[in-house]
Amino acid sequence: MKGRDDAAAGVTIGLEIHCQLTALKTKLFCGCSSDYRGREPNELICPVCFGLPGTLPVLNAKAVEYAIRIADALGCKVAAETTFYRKNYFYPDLSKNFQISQYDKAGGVPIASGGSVQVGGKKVRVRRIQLEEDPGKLTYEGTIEKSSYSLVDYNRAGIALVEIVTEPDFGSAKEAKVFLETLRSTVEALGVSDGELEGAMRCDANVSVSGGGRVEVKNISSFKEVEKALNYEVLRQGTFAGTGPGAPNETRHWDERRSITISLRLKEGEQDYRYFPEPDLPAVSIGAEFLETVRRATPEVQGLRAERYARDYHLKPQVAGELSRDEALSRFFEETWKTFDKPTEIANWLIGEVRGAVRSRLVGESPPVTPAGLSELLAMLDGGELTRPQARELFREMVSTGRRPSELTKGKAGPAIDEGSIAKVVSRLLSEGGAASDAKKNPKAFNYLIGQVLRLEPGADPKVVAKTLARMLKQE
Amino acid sequence: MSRRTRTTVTPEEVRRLASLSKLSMTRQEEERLREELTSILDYFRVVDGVPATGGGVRQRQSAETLREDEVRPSDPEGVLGGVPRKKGRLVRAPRVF
Amino acid sequence: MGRLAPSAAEVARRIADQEISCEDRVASRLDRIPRMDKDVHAFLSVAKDEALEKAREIDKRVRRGEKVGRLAGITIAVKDNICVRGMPATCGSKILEGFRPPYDATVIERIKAQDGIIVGKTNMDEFAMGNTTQSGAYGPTRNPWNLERVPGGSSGGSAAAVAGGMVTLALGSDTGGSVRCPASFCSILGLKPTYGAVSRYGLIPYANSLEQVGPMARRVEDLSLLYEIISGHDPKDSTTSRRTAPHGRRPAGVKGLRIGVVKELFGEGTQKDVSRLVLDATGELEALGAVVGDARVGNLGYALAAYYIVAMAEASSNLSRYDGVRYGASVEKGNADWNEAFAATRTECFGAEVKRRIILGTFVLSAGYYEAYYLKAEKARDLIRREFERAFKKFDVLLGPTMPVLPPKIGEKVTPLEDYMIDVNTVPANLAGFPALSLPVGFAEGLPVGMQLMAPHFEEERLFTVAASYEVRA
Repeated sequence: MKGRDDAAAGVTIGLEIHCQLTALKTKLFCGCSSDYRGREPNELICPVCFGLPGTLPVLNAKAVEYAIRIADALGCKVAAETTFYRKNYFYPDLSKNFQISQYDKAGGVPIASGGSVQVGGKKVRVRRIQLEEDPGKLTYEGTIEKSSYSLVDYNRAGIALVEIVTEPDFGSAKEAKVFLETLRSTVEALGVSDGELEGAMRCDANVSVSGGGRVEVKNISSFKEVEKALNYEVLRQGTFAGTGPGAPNETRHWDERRSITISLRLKEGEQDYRYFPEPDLPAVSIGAEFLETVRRATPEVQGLRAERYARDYHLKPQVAGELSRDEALSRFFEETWKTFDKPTEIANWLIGEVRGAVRSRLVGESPPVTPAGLSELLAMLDGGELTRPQARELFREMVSTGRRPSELTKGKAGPAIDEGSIAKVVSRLLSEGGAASDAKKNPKAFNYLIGQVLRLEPGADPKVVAKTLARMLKQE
Repeated sequence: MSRRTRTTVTPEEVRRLASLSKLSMTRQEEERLREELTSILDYFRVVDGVPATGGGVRQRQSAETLREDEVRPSDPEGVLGGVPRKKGRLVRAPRVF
Repeated sequence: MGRLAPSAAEVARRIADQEISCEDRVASRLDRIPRMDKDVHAFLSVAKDEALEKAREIDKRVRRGEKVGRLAGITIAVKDNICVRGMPATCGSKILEGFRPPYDATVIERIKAQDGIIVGKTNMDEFAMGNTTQSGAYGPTRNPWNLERVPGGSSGGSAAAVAGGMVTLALGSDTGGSVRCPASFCSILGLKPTYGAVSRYGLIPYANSLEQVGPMARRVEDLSLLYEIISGHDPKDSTTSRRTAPHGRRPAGVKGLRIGVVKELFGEGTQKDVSRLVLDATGELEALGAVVGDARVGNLGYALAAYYIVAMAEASSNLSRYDGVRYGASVEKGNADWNEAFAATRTECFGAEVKRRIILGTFVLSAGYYEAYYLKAEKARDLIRREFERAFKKFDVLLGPTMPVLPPKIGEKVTPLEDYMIDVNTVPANLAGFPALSLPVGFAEGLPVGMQLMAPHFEEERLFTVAASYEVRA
């Protein structure tokens, strides 16, 4: 099945990714080693992960740290207080017949939420990030259909997972795949997971075509399969086009062998997980100090980010490099980009105007200027309402007063000095002779003249000065 | 105490709950349970009168006081010793298909 | 019953000083059990050989001049929902038949570290759901004071073992009154510690946010010794507090202590004799110098419903793990799929009350009902806790009857709801987490009556002071 860019066909795809924190030494809630690959079955089990009666979960501190690293890399906000919930359902691979997980409704607070990243030229919103435990592994004698019993290996039960859920922002299977690959290299660079390990990154998806139903696709075993499964599903749903309500809501299972999705024919409303707060685990408070410690210890993903900025935002390599080196400024940049879509302008402003004391205030506890405020300022500059020197002046005012540009410019003097005044100044300078007369042939002298004009008329727009000067030199 | 509509538990509801809890029962047991549930749940409605404020997180723990990521010995033999049905080291469970 | 006998601490000292032989003492205690337990049926399993072995080992160490623990030679019974390595832990249920935990509960580790002798596991209501110890799969327990009466529950076996003189100390668990109720009905002392004071690691849970392991004894000094040894922060239990009761900061006596008699705990269903004995006891405390007044605690009308909603919700989830796959009983069901197979084991091996509570718990957590029941119950808990905090501003200790009635007759038919109602005085302490102690205050019609004392979080010492003063009153 050949994939094609179906964005125009009303395709929306969202992903739910489960990423094992393979860099952890132990499981999420007990001290068993997490190094289960290649071991004998049921070797790395203890009363806790096996779910023996009377045992209690104890949360792994490093898992919280690693989840925060991922949250930061995906632009998410880390919760000040996060809670664990039980997801109740029966299955032989669940040692307690419930999974300790997190929840984002009914008062539950996942460890992070509300992020977005720019990947492959595409903005992808991240709805939430949560910590949860992996179930054990089911195997069979022979085939799943013919086997009269199943066999369970609990080595994997209790391994730490981070679940990452995106909004349905992908318009094609290819976009989804690019995102997954970027995510994999990111978690590797963060030092929290080796995404290449078998089973370390799994993915479910939800696909909808042309406003038809939302179909969940499960059991996708690898990234290669992701693209195939999604392409298949998009085509399948496309066949419903023009037949009324479109494809029905359901859950489907990707059959790797036959390369098709199969309906699981689950009854409507059958699965009620009865989420409630895990009574054996207190809520975890994540303070500013702890966050600082985690962030200082996070490996440099600057290289990846610089690459991404150059590629996706089309920033010049030096600009991308300089900006991405500053973690907090990078976040500010990405936030501003959400409401002002000229990344080069933003980057240049941040690198050029935000230094020293101004920078520390901007990324501190209660910043005087927010990304939204900067966005407003840059829009005014871009629209010609302000000259650059005026914008700088306004920015300084914003920093010292904490007010928005719209508030500060109310009733202020009008736009830039008009061409006529500029022409007067230029002609006076030219008549003084000297370096001024070289300006026709010599670019350096030309620029020098512009500088002179601006010195005399600071309110002038350099672009207009240059235009006027060029015109007048031609006339001479 | 404010009261919303009376709680009625239907036979379908009882069957749904039994299915969710993996418990099976005869028609008779279902009916008896349905009656008991109706009266007990009706009594529980007294909590309707509780004001909407309060509740929320009861216990907190700082991220700094969580468990260190250090390996402790597993206990496979101790744990597997109580498993009713095994095949080698694997736990035998009913089929899922 | 043995209040003039030496305290446990005294016995342990005599053993350490080689005044008495540990083995002799333990052997004589063990010999009494078959005779005394014949009609009472407090024990589900007795570990005679292991107990004697441990006793011999203690004597050997003493002869070598080694130090021995503060519980050396003291016989202890443990409720069958608390894990002791290698001993059965049935929770009074068929579904855990044959299960022997491969690990010790933290409270057991601490007892063993002090050389306590664990003599056996005691009977209980199935999965701690009940207040009469009649519902267990392995038969009922009878009240040693009157074999036709219930011993209370769900820790009825532990209470009967202590009351019957079969052991010196016992451990129970208290989710909605399960230590205090049998203590009251068997005329002994029982404590529900502050939530988070004692580790629950190894306590097979019924309702995690409500329960605590609690000590049971015949005298206050023994009760407080056992409490001191088992309590304290446990890294294996994230709900334990780093705060502990101020051991040693016990008020010198009740003189000047402000005691509040909670009117709401003398509700409609309170039998006259119960009221009378509790108020008499209060009068004696006043005569000892306590300042007694009337206390009001509002909103207790929500307590019973809030308790049952939360307890059943947590229980329905806690009991999901029993499916016959990893331990315990397993019903063979041919070629059945997991849905049928799980249902077969659970249906056959859970008793009626357990099934009822699982279904109710599943209901109150269901989509569409969670807010109206579970969340509201949680808000009720908060409300009740604040009410008590208000009362504790005026009083150091609050009191009332532990149970509103005398121990009921065995076999009395009541509806589930009628049965739940007698927990009305004990559930508030579980909902709000406060420590509560039941002490014997007399007999009516030959049946025991208990009085319940409550204190603010982590102020167990006040409870011990009041109980001890009453115990030695002239």
